[in-house]
Amino acid sequence: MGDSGMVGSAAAPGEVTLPTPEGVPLRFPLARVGDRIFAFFVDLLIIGAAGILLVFAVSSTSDGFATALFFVLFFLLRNFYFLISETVGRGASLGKRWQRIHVVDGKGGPLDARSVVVRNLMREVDTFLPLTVIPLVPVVWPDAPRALALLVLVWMFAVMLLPIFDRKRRRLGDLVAGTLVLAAPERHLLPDLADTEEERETTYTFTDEQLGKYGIYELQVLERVLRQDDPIQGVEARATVAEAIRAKIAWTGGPVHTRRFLTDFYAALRADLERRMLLGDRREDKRAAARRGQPSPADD
Amino acid sequence: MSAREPRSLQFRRERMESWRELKALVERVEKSGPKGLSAEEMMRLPVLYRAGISSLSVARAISLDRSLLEYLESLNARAYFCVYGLTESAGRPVFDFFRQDLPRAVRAIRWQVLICSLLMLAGTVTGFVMTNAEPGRFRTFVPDAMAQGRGPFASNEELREVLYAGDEQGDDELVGFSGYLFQHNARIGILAFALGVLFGVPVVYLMFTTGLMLGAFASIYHARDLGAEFWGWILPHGVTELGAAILCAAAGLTLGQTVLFSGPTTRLTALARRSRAVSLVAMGALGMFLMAGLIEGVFRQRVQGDAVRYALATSTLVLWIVYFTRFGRGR
Repeated sequence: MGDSGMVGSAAAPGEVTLPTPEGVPLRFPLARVGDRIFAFFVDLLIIGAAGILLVFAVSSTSDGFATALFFVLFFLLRNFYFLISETVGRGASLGKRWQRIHVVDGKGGPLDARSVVVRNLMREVDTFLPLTVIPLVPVVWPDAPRALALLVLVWMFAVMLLPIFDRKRRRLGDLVAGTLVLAAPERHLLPDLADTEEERETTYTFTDEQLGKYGIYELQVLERVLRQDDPIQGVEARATVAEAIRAKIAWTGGPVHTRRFLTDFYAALRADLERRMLLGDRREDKRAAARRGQPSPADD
Repeated sequence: MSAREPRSLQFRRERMESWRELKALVERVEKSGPKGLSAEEMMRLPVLYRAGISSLSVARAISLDRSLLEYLESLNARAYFCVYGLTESAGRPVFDFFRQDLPRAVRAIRWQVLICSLLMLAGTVTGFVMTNAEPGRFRTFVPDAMAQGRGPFASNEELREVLYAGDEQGDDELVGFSGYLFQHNARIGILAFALGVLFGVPVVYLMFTTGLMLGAFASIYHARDLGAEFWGWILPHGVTELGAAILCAAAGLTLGQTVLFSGPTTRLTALARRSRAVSLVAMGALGMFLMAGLIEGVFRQRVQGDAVRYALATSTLVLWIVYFTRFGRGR
């Protein structure tokens, strides 16, 4: 996460960087495979419920006709469900909306309906086909030579498990249609830690020398600690960190109120590091700080 | 002593209102779609989105507040979905897909389709000729389960029964048989596609043996002067079903040959390029299998007249040929 200052830097695993038409690359988290599977199950449940209705509707006709008709109608049902719900839902079927994941064009532009059509029809080949063949290999082909049956199984698994192996977690339908499935988790705007509005009698201040001991990595660790909600762990963590900082910067100001001390240190450190960053001096962590030696006190 | 506020804090104070506004709009769109917004808000959304993107860009450069960055990344990602979500309706593209993409994909691998068709034809002729010469060979060419009591030693009545049995007579048994036939061919299709990756050799084998089986069957019916009736029984759905099997085989063969002969590009790139046509064809074949199943279920045992059966067979053949050769041409 230390590369937040670099636009267009390489995405972490589980992320993709997409160029937006505005020219600013956005980093998106890829939908987790588990989430996709879950969304798929939800969609299947919905289709299944409709399928049961279909069975009742069709069973009134005679046997042979009914079976064939059912298979065809079920095929149409499941395909149209996905097609329609992904189109109406702007790239998200009902199951996907539940999981807060969406389909998007792999190149970053607008998602076009053709891609949605292709990726959904392809589900027949990359999901439904393996799902029906794998459990039924002995049924579908009872007198198969072992090796051949095994081979078919392997191939079906390979096709079905493709999202696990692909770096961008695409299934065959995504590959052919050029789409990706991304997650869009909700994030709230938390109050800025450096924003201390209330007037306090004692504000802790630090010299440039003291601030010079730490870098961006430590700053973000400190941020995490300060945002830690858990009452017990949070208090412990903060005490530990405050202790470590006081030791490192050779604090001479006597005993401190832990939270205020940390907050003031955070604010001062961030202000200092951001200022340096603007001037091109990006101090990654305390080792980098140590390598640079003492920063000159009269900086600007 | 430095006790200034971080610059990013100032930046955030300035921009926070517009982010809040963007978030509110985005949430409305996510919940009830674009129609949840008024006309003014619809015009505001792209403006706010661009402001948001620009904020993100600036924040990445000047801010070390990780929660702020995560917030902006997430907000812009969600806004991106809202602004660049689907714009067209699905109706026309589905139509276009069947009208253009599918036939074009089949034409893209037409040589493989031709080869597989010829292989099947060769198998059929061979099976026919060899079973004629030596009826015992039927047992070798056709697995027992498939034969279901038919064979060189079945009586004429038994054979005829299969061809013309109506509803009342052993409907279940025939449904079972037709189901088996359907399964068998679907299986062939799957196998051919899957095993095509193995350099196409199994595909060749499969096409040929399917033909052998067909030829063997034809032979015993032909020997009893029931030849014409046999084809009338098989072809109405057989055209579609065998066509689907051939397409699957051709798709598999293409895969196999791409793996073998990838030329100057690497195997993966070649595969990636071919995979679109191949996958589309496989998908089309699946649809054809389903249609064949429907025809089988509906027509085969209900429609008894030979003339009608032949008419049906011919029209499906013509339809498929026209579809795959003429549709999607031009532009």
